[in-house]
Amino acid sequence: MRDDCTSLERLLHDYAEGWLEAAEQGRLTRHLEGCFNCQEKLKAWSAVGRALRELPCLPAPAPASVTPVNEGEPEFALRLALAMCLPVALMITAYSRQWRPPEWEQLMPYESLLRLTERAQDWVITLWIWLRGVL
Amino acid sequence: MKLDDATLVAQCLQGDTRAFDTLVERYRDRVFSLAFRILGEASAAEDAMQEAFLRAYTRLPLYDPAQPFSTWLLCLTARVCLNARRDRATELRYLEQAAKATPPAPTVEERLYEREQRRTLQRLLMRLPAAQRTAMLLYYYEELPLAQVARALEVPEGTVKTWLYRGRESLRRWLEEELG
Repeated sequence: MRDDCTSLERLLHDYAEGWLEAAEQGRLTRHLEGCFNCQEKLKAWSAVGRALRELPCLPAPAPASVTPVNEGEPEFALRLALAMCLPVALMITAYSRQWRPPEWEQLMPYESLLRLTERAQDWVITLWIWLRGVL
Repeated sequence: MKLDDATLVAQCLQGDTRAFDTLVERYRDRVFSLAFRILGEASAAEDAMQEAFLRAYTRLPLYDPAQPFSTWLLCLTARVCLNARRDRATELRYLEQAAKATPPAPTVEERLYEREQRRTLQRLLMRLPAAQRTAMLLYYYEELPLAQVARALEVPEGTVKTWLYRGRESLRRWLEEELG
């Protein structure tokens, strides 16, 4: 390596990256033409840069869970399902006992609708009271 | 149809969280790779990746659409990794691992690396100071412009140039020693 190579080393790196002004770029080009050591160093730096660029993209581990899990949800759903069972069973029983097909056939559509609404109101109130008690 | 990053960011800013999920899916490998190259450990890289995406989500209103989303995200990831290393406990753990001079967790490593040479390069990268290594990875590995690297690391461009020169020269010397 010639005496001025050490002082030029930093410039040589900037030269390799194309960061130098045109005048300095020309100066380094002239130096490189006659300096085997600097040529070798330039090649070695290029190889390092290339090796870094060619590092593979690594696959990220599979996400455990992107969406935060609300641990209360399954419990709430279970409680709601259980809470619904009893009122539904009661309603089915009550409805089946009161079910009188011949009477229904004799009633006017308006009256049957009225009776149905009244029952629906009872069911909703019963359900609401039950749900408030359980939940 | 594959939406571009700018559209997804705009959708996300309007409250569409699925748009951000798409961005995460698109960049998770790149973010993880960069974090792994900087931190040298898969579990730490995974933590950094999650932190980076979390920060990206919360700071999305601050994102300047003039620059590519990928550049912004990768610079943010680099800062997250450097901050993680500033944590003293974490730093000590990494120093211990670096002192062992062998890549940690061989089973994970086997999966992550295909060639011994790349493994050597990663191990040598870990010998560089953190900021220098991050500059090297952002500039060479992610191929970000010098100005962006300087902005990401909050240092002047001249400092980045010096880090790149020293980093490349160190790697050249170490590779010559190792590979002959």
